[in-house]
Amino acid sequence: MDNFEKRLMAALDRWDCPTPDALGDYQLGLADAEAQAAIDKHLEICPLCRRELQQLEAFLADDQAVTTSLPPSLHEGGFVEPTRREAAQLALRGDSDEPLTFVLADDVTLYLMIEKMADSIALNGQLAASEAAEADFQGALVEIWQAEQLEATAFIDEAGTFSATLPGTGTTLIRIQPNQRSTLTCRLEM
Amino acid sequence: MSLSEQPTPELQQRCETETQKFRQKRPYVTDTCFELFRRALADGDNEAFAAIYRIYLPLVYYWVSVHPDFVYINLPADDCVSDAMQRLYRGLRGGRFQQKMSSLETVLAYLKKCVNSVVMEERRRRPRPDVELDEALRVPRESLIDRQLFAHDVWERIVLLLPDANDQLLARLSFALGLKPSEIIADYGHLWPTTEDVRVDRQRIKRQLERDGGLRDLLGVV
Repeated sequence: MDNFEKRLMAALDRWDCPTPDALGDYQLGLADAEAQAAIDKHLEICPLCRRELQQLEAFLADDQAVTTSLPPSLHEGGFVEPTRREAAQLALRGDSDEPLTFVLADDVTLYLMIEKMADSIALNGQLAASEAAEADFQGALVEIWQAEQLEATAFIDEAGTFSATLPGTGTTLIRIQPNQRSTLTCRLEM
Repeated sequence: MSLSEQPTPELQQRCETETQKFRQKRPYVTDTCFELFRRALADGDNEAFAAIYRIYLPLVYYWVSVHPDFVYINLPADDCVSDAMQRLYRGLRGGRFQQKMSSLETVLAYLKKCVNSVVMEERRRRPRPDVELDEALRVPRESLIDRQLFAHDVWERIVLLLPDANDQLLARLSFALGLKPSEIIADYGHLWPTTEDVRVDRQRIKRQLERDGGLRDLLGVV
């Protein structure tokens, strides 16, 4: 394959194919009339989308017995720890008002305030992201795990904040699932 | 006490019980789990969302692991699970839940669709190994919209250069979808009976496109 052909294919790669999500809505009868008509027309000329739709239909129809085991890999590797300077300021053991800081990526930092209540722990997070990254985190799902149990979930609001209540202390994993980016994970000891 | 008045922890327990009955192929009811989904998505109740996440995590994880294209993507299963749950929330929050969902079955079908979307979007990002598209040759564009606009411009140029509908179809199948001649004759044998027919026409089309200075400029080919 020569340079011209490679560039042509790179430029046109499935450029007008509906997204898998749009095909999914179509398959479930959730697409509006306009989208449905557009996809109907597209399917006439696109064997790849026709195949994906057939595969989706079979996938949705498959109702075999499920496993009850939990995903094994959740607690393996790749966590961000609090930056050293703040690590000693674990809010429950010190009297500092400084938030814990986690540098999750070059363009994303998480600030976490932890407050011990009578019978629970209140977690308040603030995400600081570059302008380009902000949109990726609005509405992002936040999962908070302790002892391999999902203790709470939250969603990052337009101000980049989220809050959650936990039953107690311990090793805590916070996973953030942004839009169109890899999951970010940090860990702290409370 | 009506379902909507029951505290979420109680609802979670009842939903877990009914889900267990379903797995054991015993008679079960779906209204408690549906109510939990309703609170989580229509009402934006985080406690209810965490509850459904806990209950359905094994099921969603299973769906990810058995998806036929999961083996081709380089994403951990738990990331796919998180992404699918997030898409569920984004797709059905607020009024959309009431508009689109009528039963637990429809909600779970939607959730399974979200799993498919996560896997297939990632799958589409990975080019076919036999085509070996070099990332460095991809025309850099800042956003999906930019890329689509650029592709549209390229395609418009191609349509001008190839007035014949079959030539346009072959250009799409070969260059936009990256199909091999054997794949093309599988669906379009009535137009191209043999792989040789595909190759001959494809070469002719490619020479025609390559000669056009406007297209070469667009693609940045000297």
